[in-house]
Parts: sequence; C-alpha cells; structure tokens
Amino acid sequence: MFKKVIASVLTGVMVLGMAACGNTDAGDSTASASSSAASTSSVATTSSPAATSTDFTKASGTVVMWNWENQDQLKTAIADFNTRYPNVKVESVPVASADYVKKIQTAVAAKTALPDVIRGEVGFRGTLFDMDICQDLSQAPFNFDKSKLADKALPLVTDSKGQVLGAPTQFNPSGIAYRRSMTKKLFNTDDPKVLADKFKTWDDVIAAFKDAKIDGKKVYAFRTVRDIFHIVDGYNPQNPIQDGTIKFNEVYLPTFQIIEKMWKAGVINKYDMWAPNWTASFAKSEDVFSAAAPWFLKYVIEPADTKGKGDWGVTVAPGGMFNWGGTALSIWKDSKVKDAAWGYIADQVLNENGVKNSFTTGMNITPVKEFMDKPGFFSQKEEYWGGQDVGQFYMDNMDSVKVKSLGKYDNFLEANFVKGLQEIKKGKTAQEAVDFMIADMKKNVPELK
Amino acid sequence: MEQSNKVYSFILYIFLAVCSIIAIGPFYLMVIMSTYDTNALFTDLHLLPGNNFMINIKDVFLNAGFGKFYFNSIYIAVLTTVLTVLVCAMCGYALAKFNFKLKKTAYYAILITMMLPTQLGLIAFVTEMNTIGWTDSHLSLIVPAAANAFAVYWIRQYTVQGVPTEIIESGRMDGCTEGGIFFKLVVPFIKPALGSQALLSFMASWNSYLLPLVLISDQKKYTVTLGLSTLDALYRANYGARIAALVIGTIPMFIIFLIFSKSLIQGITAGSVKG
Amino acid sequence: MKNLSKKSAPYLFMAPYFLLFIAFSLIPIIFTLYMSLNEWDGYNGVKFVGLANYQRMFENGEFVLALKNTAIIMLMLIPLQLIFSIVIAYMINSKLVRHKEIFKTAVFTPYLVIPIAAGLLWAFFFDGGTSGTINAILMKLHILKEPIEYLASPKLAKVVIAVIMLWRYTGYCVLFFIAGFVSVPEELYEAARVDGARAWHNFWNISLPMIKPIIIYMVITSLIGGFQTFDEPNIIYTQGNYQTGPYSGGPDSTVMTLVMLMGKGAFQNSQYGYGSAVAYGMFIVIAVFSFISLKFMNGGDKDGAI
Repeated sequence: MFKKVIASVLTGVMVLGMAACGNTDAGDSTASASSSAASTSSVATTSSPAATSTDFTKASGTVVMWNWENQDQLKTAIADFNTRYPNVKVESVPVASADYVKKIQTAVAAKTALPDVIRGEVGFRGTLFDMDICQDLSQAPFNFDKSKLADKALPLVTDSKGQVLGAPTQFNPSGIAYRRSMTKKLFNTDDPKVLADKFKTWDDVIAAFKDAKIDGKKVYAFRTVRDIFHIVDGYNPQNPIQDGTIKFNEVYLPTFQIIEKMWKAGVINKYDMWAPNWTASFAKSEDVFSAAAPWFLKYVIEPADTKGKGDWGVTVAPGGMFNWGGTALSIWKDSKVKDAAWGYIADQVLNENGVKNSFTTGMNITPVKEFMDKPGFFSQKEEYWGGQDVGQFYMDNMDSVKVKSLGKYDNFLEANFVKGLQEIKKGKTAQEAVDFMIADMKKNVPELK
Repeated sequence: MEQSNKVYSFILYIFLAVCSIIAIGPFYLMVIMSTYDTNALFTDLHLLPGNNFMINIKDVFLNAGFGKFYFNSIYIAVLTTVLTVLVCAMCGYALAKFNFKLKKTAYYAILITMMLPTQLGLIAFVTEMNTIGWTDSHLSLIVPAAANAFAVYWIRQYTVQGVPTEIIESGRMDGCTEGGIFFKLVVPFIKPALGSQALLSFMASWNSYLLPLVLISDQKKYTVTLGLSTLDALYRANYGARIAALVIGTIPMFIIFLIFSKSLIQGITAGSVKG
Repeated sequence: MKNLSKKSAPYLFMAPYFLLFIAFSLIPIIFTLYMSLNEWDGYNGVKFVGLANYQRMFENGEFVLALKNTAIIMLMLIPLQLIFSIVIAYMINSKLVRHKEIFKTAVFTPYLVIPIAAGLLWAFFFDGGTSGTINAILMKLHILKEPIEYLASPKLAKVVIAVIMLWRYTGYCVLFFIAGFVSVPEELYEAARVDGARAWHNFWNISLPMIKPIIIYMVITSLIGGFQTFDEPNIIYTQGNYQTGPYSGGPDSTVMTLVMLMGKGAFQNSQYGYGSAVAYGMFIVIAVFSFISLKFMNGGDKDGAI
C-alpha cells in the first residue's frame, strides 16, 4: 500500500515536472547540470532547477551490480559517482567473467534475485536481451532518449521490438597495437600512420612477415589466429545466425579464408588467446601486432607488460577499424531500486564527469553524441603508448566501423568460433573449419537450420 | 643379513623421497611462485623464494577483502562439519545396530544416493532455496549438505564392527535412554570414524564452488573459493597475487589435516572398509 | 515403554537425515526427472517433449562421446592409481621406514590443494610454449628441444587430465592402503620381515590378499568418482582461460566428460531439459556399474549383509 502511494506520488510529480520544464529526458538534465558545473569547478554539484521533478540524483538506495571489471578502477569510479549521487550506494559484486552468464541464467531459471544493474558484454548481450529481464530504458520514468547515442551504437542496445534495454558505456572502434621497438627494427619506423599505409592488406602483412627475423630469431605478425578473426569478423555487420538459420558460409567463410591463408603463411604465432602464456607473451619481443580495442589496452596490455612503458603504439588494421567487444549497463526489470540504478547508469553514460572518468581510467569511449562531437573530449596523450594520443586515434578512425546486430544465439558463438579456429590451426581448410562449426552449432542448438 | 637390510631400506627411502617430491613439488612451486611478481613468473623458472610475497599478500587481503571470505568459509565449513557428523552418525548408528522394517530400503536408498552425480538437481535445488528464502544465505550451504550419504555409509560400516552390541544392551539394562546410549556409549567408540568424516566434510565444504557460485550474490557472504574465482576479474594479469591467494586458501586444509589425519587413518584401519 | 522406545528409536535417529535428504535432494532430483521430459530455457514456458531430449543426446553422439572420454580417462587412471598407492603404502608401512608421518603427509598434500587452486596451478604447469613449467624444466634438462602444447593437443589432453587426477588422488588411496597393511596381523610377517629379498614374496602372498576388500572398495569408489569426473578437465580449461572456457571439453571435446556435458546443457546453454536428460542417462550408466559393484561390496564385506 505504502509503495503504491509513493509510486503514484512519484508519477504525479514526474508528470508535473515534465510539463514544467518541457524536457522529457531525465538523463539530459542531470548530465547538462553537472557538465556545466564541471566546467567551472572540479567538484560537480548537482543542483539544477530543471531537474527538480525527475531528479534521479535524489534517488537513494543500494544498487547491486555484478561485474567482472577491474575493481580498483570501479572503486574510483563509484567514489566519483557518489560526489553527485550521495544517497546511492553502489555495491559492486565481482563475478568471474567465465561464470557471469551461468550465474544470470541460473538466477533467472530459479527466479532468484538478479543484480539491479546488469553488465552486458556484447558477446552475450543478445542472449541477455532475449531473456526479458531488462528494463526498457526509453520508458518513463527513465525516458532514455536513444537519439543521444551515436547511431552506430544503437544496434548494440536495442532489441527487435525497438526497446532500449541497455545504455552503452563502451564503444569500441578497434585497431592493432604494436611494439615500437620491433617495428623500428623491422621497418625502420614506429609511426602509426606510416605503418597503417604499409599494411593496407593482409597480403602486405604476409609479405612483410614471411621471413621476418630480429637478431636471427623468427618473429610473428600476430600472436593468435583469433586476432585475425576478431579483426576481419569485426568488419562484417551481419550476425552469423539470422532468423533461426545458420549463415556461417556467408558470414564466416570469407573471414576464415583469410585466417587460413595467414596461418599457412606462417606469420601467426600459435598462442591461444587468454591463456597464461598468451598474457605472458606481451612482455616478450616475439610478436609485433595484437588486435586492440580501447579496453584491451588497459585491461590486457598495460598490466601484462608492466615494463613496456613507451614501447607500444596503436594503428589501423589492414582493412580498417573494426568493432570488438563492448559493455552496456541494463536495469533488472524487477529491481526495487530502479531509480537509483538509473541514477548510476545515467551518470556513467550521460554525465560528463562520469564519462570522462571512465575514459581516463579504462579507455572507455562512451558513444554519446554530445561527448563524441566535442573535439578533444576523448583525448589523452599516454606515456605508456609512446606519447601517442590513443583516445584521439580511436576517435579519428571511427567512421569506417560497422557494428553487428545482436542475436538470441550470440551466447553460443564464442565457443563455436574458437573451435573453428582450432581446426585451422590443425591445418584444415577454411571450408572444413566452417562445416565443422555448422555441425557443432546444430549439435548445441538443434532448432537451428 | 644386516647389509641387505641396509640396501633395502636405502631403496625404500629413495623411492619414497621421489614420490614425496612429485607429490609436494607442484605445491612447493606454487608457494614459490607466490613470492614473485608476474613478470618474473613468466621469464624464468624459479626454485627459491623471491621477495614479492608481502606485496602479493597485501593485494589479496587489502584489495580483494580476503579476510571476510576466510571468516565465512571457516564458519560455514565448521558448522557443516558438525551438523553432517551429527546427522549422519545418528543415521549410520540406526542402520548398524537396529533391526526394523524399513532398514533394507533405507540402506539401499543411501547406497543409491552415493552414486548420484552431485550436480543432478541443481536448478531445482536453487529454485527451492529461493522459495524458502535461503538464497544469499549461508544456511543454503550448511543445512542441505548435512545429509551426506557417503558419511552415513562410512559411519555405519565403522559402527557395525567398532561398537560391541553388548555395550548397547548393557546400557539398556541400566535404564539409559536410547539417546543417552548413543551419545554416551556409542560415540566414544566411533570417534575415529567421526573424526575422519569431519576431515572429509570440512574439505568438501571448503572446496565447494558451484553451489556458492549460484546461491551467493552478496560479496560480504562470499566464500574463499568464490573469492579465488573473482581474482580473475581483480587481477587479470597479476598472476603473482592470484597464486598467493591460492596458497593462502589452501593453508586451512593443511591445518585441518594435521588435526584429523590420525583419526582418518584410525577410521579406515579400525574397520570401516575391512572385510 | 522401553520396548516402544527401542522400536521407534531407529526411526528417530534416521529422521534428521532422511528429512534433509527428502527436502533437499530427493525433491530436486524428481523435479529434474520431470524436466528431462521437457524443453525449458529457464525463462520461456516449459514445453513437454517426451523423450526427445534423450533421443537428441544419443543421435548427436555427445552422450556416447562423453561416456567414452570418461571411460578412457578412468582406464588410464585407476590401474596406475591402485598400483602406485599400494606400492607407496606398502613401503611407508615397512618396518625399515621411520618418520612415516612425514611421508604420509607428503603424499596426501595434493589432495589438500583446493581444486580451483590446482586448476590454475596445472594450467601453469602444462602451459604450452617455453613459459609452461613442465616445458621449462624439460628444456632446461635438455630432454625437450621444442616446447610441447599439452593442452591444445587432443591426444595429450586426456593424458594430462589422468596425470592430474593421479597426482591428486593417489595420496588419498595411500592412506586407505596403509590402514589395510597396518591391520595385517604381525605374525604373518614374522618369518621374513628382516629379509629384504623376501619382501616381494611377502607382499605378493601375504599382504596383498589381506587387503583385497580395500582394493575392491577403492576400485568401486574410484569408478563412481571417475564417472563424475568434472573438476579437473573443467577447471584447467577455465582457469587457464584456454580456448573455449568452461564446459568446452578441451580440444575436439576430447575431455568432455558426462558431468561436463550435463553442465553444458544446464548452465552454459540454458537447455535445462537436455541437461537433465544427460544427468539421468548418466545415472543409468552409474546405476548399472553400481549394481555390479554392490554385489562386490556385499561380497567383500561380511558384516554388510543385511
């Protein structure tokens, strides 16, 4: 009863508020309020005349969020968030990335509580959205205006019914990272532009690395076949499973043909991505390039090669920039603290300070037009990256990036393509690998054609 | 005679030493690895301790909050152990020393339960825990675990041989209650079986991973194994800290083993699996 | 009055166990049986499909593959585990060996390492390339020239799992056999105990027959445990973030075991019906073996007869 009263009061206030300020977007009022504050003072204040009615900064409660991110970065980000939302406590519960989907699925099946804020990695977001557990953020009271988002990011947070089920904290125009000392020895340059011009096609890579040696020791272009997969597959906006039909021959085969060619030319090392020795390989000088999304720099390379300061750079991959990974925040449909949860999400996605913070600590580029259009917003010269302004690099080369549409079966894809890549490593042809993947997919999901 | 004895014992010692080294070796290297930073771990094989242990430990306890996980795991394991031993000892005793109608059925039910894969009813189990409000509660890890078919079988086998029926009969003569007979007369006889079961139960509870993973979502209630799994998120590439945490997480097992290992051997020796 | 109490006592003693068992094991297990006849992804409605899940599991060959994988790992593991543990136990038990506690604790150590810890440890050990510990050792000793990719090789993956399990469980078995040897009556050894040359004769003709019940017990429990092999293959391919992560079953699904197949259906793929069907398929396999082994158990345990 009490809840009902509160709810109707809130709704009433909200309607009045909307009429009063003529602004239907709560996030915007919060964001503009604090961004104007931020420009004058380093501490953001939250008072805004426009925000009185739908002021989510007044929201209170404890927001539970499951995540696999770096806890130290999150702690900093949450402390910063609390300067604007003092009454919202964010409880970040670490869950191993390997267990994340399992934990969500079990909770859904057993009808136990989900976190108020769900982190959706792009690899399983399609599956997550299909489960009907995420709040449509475009609805009142959140009124998240999707036109604020970069058009490219839209397919990543909307479902087929046009609901906005998440707010993206990351957009990942990705390139390739390289070790400067190695390119200097091999090609007498460590300039990202020169390297990008030198490697316009995959054949250029093969030609340059076929017999590449440093001090008499063979060096490789890439560490894993999976690098090539993420790059080339990243160019392709099509989901490999469409309307219940497996489209691997159309979507994957051309990618796998390139991978096969590269593998057989012997320019790819034999690591498996995410294995301990792969992590270790970033501290060595055996492999020049690595597929590198913005998050990848802070999440993998910098911690893996702690002594590599100044020895790394980022450039454009042969064939251009691609999309790799990405996180969005969603609100659990049955959360009891939706307002507070939205406060957190809005702050992370729409507030200038929140977005800036997320960029400086984790190199996350939040795909909101307001910030993306602001020159130099996502810009930061990095000593670790040899003084290169990597953020700006990603921004400058964003135009060619295409984004895959989400699909219900996305959760099955990773395990599947990794098996296909192993086939290539065993010497099979691209067609054989793809056939193998089709068979494997049908085995796992019998209803697919 | 004396000579060949010496040679023989020399061979014995060499063989046992080799086996011990193989058994301890990986764990030893793990301890050594916990004393280096990550870069050093990957660059060379280390056989002697480095000097990064305190830094790794600091990471584990201060940043990852392992102190709390430790406390949770210890009290969950202790309570589970006590409850398991109590519940299963009573059941094992009933099966060993009484004759009653459903005895055969009950015994076979226990044997069959031993053969069931432990993950069999997981989803239904979690749903059930949710219905009775035990998700995110340590009760869900403690109470259901107490019905341990293996423990019943183990204690029953021991009781059959280890407890003279005359003792029970004389207890009845003296007018003891049935409960009194069990706790005062029978328990002292089956202590080794209870001790060995305590060791196994403690270990099982401490190692349990899948159940806490799907049942516990409040970080304050995390157990050590859950904490260990999330180090992947905390320290993506900090293998030094991750391994230090693993070492720390294993130490209680050694302590428990040293306490109960005598019981374990006695428990086996005195008849539980003998013919 | 006393009689009544004696009659009701066993039921009262058993009550806590069976109440807990029915509430927390039996009900979920029966629900799982019902689920195996349905299709359910955890959030859409439950759809009755009859035996379709069982049909699928045999038609796509996954169940047989998992059964085969599990059996091969067990065949590699169990004989070696028995031989090693009996020999080690016999030696530790020898009159010529002092400081028995040290050796006992040493060989039991692997069993004390938390499985999740052992997973990362082994991922490190069997890591391919030159940084893997085993490769590093073998290359330092000049036994190997090129590093071996243990975990990426479909052929070696099973061996690796068997080796890990051998390392982990041998010490546990050793304790059982020590207990067995300790209980062999002194007099039987008297004649030849000081003579090393006759040790073999003693071992073969006196000790071994005496511990036959323990051997049977260990074989049966190893079989039951072996059918439920899951931790080792799962954790090494998850903790090391190798290839396909949890429930992948390693290269070419070569270490996909029965429990893993069940978990893959139930947790990874959200196909609870299919996962439940695998669980019951597995239960039937174990039940067949158990039926056979029950005969053994009752045969070997004269007091076990009811």
